[in-house]
Parts: sequence; C-alpha cells; structure tokens
Amino acid sequence: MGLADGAAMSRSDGSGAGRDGTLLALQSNRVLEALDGEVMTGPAIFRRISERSEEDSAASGDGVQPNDQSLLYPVLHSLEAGWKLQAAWLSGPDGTKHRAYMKRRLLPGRPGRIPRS
Amino acid sequence: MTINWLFAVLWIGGWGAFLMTAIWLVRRSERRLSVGPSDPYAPIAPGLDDSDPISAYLARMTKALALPAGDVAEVRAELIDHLQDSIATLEAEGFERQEAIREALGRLGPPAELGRQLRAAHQSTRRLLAGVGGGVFAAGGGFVLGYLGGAALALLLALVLTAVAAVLTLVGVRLPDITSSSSGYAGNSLMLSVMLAVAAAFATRYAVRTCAGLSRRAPRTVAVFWAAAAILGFGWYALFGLRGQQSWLGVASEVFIPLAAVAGALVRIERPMPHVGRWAIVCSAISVGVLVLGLAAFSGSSGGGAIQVDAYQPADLHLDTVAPAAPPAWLPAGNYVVTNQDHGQASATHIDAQVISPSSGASASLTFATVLINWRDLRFEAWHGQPMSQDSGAIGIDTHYTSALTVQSAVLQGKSLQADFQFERMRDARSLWVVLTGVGPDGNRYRLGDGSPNMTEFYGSAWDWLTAPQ
Repeated sequence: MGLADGAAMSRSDGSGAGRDGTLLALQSNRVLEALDGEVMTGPAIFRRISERSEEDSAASGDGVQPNDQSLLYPVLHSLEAGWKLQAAWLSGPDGTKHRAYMKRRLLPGRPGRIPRS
Repeated sequence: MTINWLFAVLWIGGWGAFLMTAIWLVRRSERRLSVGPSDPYAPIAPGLDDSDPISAYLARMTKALALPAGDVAEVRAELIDHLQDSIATLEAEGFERQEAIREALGRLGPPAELGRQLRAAHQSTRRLLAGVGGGVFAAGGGFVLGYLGGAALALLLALVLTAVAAVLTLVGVRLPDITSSSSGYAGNSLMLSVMLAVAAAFATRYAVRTCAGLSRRAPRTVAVFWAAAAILGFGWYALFGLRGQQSWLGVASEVFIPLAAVAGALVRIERPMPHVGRWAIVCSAISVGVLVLGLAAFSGSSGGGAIQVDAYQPADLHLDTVAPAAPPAWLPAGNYVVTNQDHGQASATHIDAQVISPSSGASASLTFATVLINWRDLRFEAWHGQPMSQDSGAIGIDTHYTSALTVQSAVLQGKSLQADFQFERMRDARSLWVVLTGVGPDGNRYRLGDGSPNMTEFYGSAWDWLTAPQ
C-alpha cells in the first residue's frame, strides 16, 4: 500500500533521540513563526512553512525533507499541550469543520474564523 | 441557640462551591474519556470503510496512539481533514487518485511512529501534574458525595433490616436484643463503615477518571497508582484513624474500607462514572437528615432507662471469689477501706483506696502507711463483673472467671493507695469490679474492703483492638 514510503521512515530506523529532539525543536520554531498572530489549519501551516523554508533547508542541510509532514501534527499537539498554541474546531469557507491553531494569548479567547488561505 | 449566620452561609457556600467544582472537573474528564453526540470532533469524512488504505493507516496509527477516546476521535478527524486537503492538492498537481493517496500517507510517515509521537505530545509532564492535582481535588469531592450516598444506603439497609426484624417478630421468631450497649455500638460501627467504604470507593474512582482525562492516559494505566495510594491512605485511616468503641465485627468492617477503595479504582474502571445529578444529591442529603433525626429520636426514647438493681446481700456480690475479707484485727479499729474509680471514655481509669471512718464518712486520720504495717504486696485486682443490663439486675463478681482480668500494684500517695488501669484498651473489659487485696501477716491474701464496680468499653483504633492484650 505504500504506507512505508514516507520520508520520515528513515528516522525510525536508527536515528538518535537527540536528532529527533533537534528536529522537533526546529519544526516547533517554524510553526510558531508561521502562525504569527493568524488562525490557520494544519495544512495551511505546512504550506507556509514550506514556502518560507524551501531555500533555507536546502542551504543548511538540516535533513528535513520538503514534503515530510511526519512531525507537523506531533509538533502542533505538543505546542498545544505546552500552552503555546490553542486550537478549536472552526467552520471553513465551505462550511466544513477544520481544526485551527493560533498562538495562545494572555487573555483567553476563542479563534474567530479561518481565513481563506 | 444562636446561629452565626455569616459563618453558616460561608460554610455551606464553601462546601457547595467545592462540590460543584469537583463534579465539573469529573464531568469534563468524563467527556474526554468518551465521545458524545454533541462533540465537535465527530468524524467528518463519511464513507470510509476498512478496505480503504486511509482507514487502514488510521487504524494502525490509532493502535499506537493509546489515548482517551475523546482525544483519539479528535486526532483521527484532524488527520482525515489533513489527508483530504493533501490528496486534493496532489490531484491538482496531476497525481492519480491512488498515487495521491499513497503519497499523502507517505508524507505523514509510518503510522505507528506517528501514533507514538502524537501520544508523547499529548501525555506531557505538565498534563500529568495537572492530572494528579485534579485527581486529588476530585477525590475530595467524590468522598463527600460518596459519604452522602453511603449514608442514604446505610439508612436504606437499616430500614430494610428493621422491617425484616418486625416481620420475624410478628411470626414469633426470637431475635437478639440489639438495643443493648455493645450491640448498639456494633450497629453504629457497621453503618459508619458502610458510609466510609462507599465514600472511599467514590473518591478513588473519581480520582482515577479525572486523572486519566486530564493527563490523557488510559484509566487502567493510572488506576494502579491511585489504588496503591488508596491502600496507604484509607488503610492507615481504617487501622489507626478511626477511634471509638470497637468490636471484631467493627474491625472487620473497617478493614473493608481500603478494600472498597481499591475496588473503586480497579473494577471496570474503563466504564464511565454514573451521572450524579443534583436530585441525587438532594435526596441523599434529605436521607441523611432523616437518619440523624431518627437516631436522635430513638436514642432519646431508649436512653432513659436505668439499670434495675434489686436489693442485695453482701454474699450476692461473690467477693470471696477474689479473696476472703481481711480480718478486722488487721485493719484500723472500726474503719474500712473504700475504693473509688475515676475514668473518661478514652483515658485511663484511676483507682483510689482510702481508709474511711464509719462515724464521719471522711478519711480517717490514720494514713494508709499505718495500715500497711500488717500488709504487704498490696495490689488492685480488676475482676469481671456481672453483665449489668436492665433485665437481669445482676451485680457483683462474675463467678465464671477464676482469676483477675488484670492487676496493678497499689502505690501509696498521700493518704491513699492509687493505681491506673487502661481498661479502655482491653477487649474483654465490660463490667468490672476493682478490689484492693494484700498479703496479711499469715502469708495469705485477703481483700481490703468490697471494692467498687465499673462499666467500661473498649476505646481505640482497630490496631489497638487487634494488639490489645485481651
């Protein structure tokens, strides 16, 4: 079925925990930079990260493949558990519900709506 | 009777706020541990069947996820949404449908690895600490609610037993007298144990379910730790904390309290908590009020009877079972020895023997030191007395026993001989006679005076009862 074709497959084949931690930290920073006060869904966050880091990752060689989405949701959920992000199910422009994220504010508030990306 | 209304309002309001907060915390955790119809994260991608590669991927991911059901549903719904977006994007780039699905799944990585990383992200240390704190808080609320529920249950049991006893009495079955002192204490002890056992079970179950919901862990994972804490906490309380009149039945029922707590933590812990509505709390509170009023009325109507003692002769006391009376020649002329007792419910019994002048009734001018010329090895002996009940009216030494229950050396202090007994720590101490005895010049032991009776009950913890000398 091709379930094992993911670019992140190599990570589970022997990469150290330290390398995983570094990649998670790097991805966390990218997610926080990508949000920057907006309300975005997971796919939208990933697209923004990809746009901003295409050249950077090639130049630095940090090993994160451009289409590798294996750390996206672990990072998002980890940031949410660490109270750096807040999430809510919001209706998109097409009426379907999507889980959207935003940076947590000092005063609690519910994200309004998901803008068209 | 004046009521401090401000204090009463604050007291009731504070307890009410505490209970409502605890119930809210438990309900919030229960929602996370199960998926309800109103949850916003119900599956949003209908039509997937098990043969679909996406469903197979999600099934493998879910197996490694091991989170509460609410979190699992939320993660699945979010990944489905992501995959739909990802597949649509890939199709727009020119991928065939099946190729787009494979590529989208491949970009997420191995399903087991994704599930493991998502579990690690959810089960943070911060949430674990929140779970522990929330569990303790919910345990407090659960204990109070369980106590009320246990009181209602104990009242119901008492009513059922009373009805059964009434029916049996009507048909002529002879029943034991449960209104006697010791049986009454056993009944009270049983009711208290039922209430505390229900409270302990509720407290532990609330703690496990709340901790699991807040910490994003499976209830059975955290249940073992809460069960261990319950054994330590409620076990200590049952053995050492509950102090009062004990009995073998009471001690057995108190040992049941930590067992009930462990059962509350482990038995069918994956099942949701029963919904405790406000009316259940109101009915329990009313039941407790009725129980208290009923017990007060019962004790008021049955507590007025005095022990009927018929006129008796000295020989009826069977004091010679202890020792023969001291020959008058070895006692101060015309005086006699009087023994008094002074005790509290939970304290030692103090014995005091004085030489009394029969003419004045006061302590004779002769001190005991003068009396002691003819005596040695003076001691106070506590013997089992006749069971004092309203029906028998018996009094005196219980001749079924051939030796003293306990003995203490008499110590001369001032004008009197004194000793202290720990009757409240003796299981068999009920009706007692304390008599002063000594060895006379002829080498035989005699009693000095007729002693004095005493009624006492064991007072202590379950551990005191188990380790009592007798």
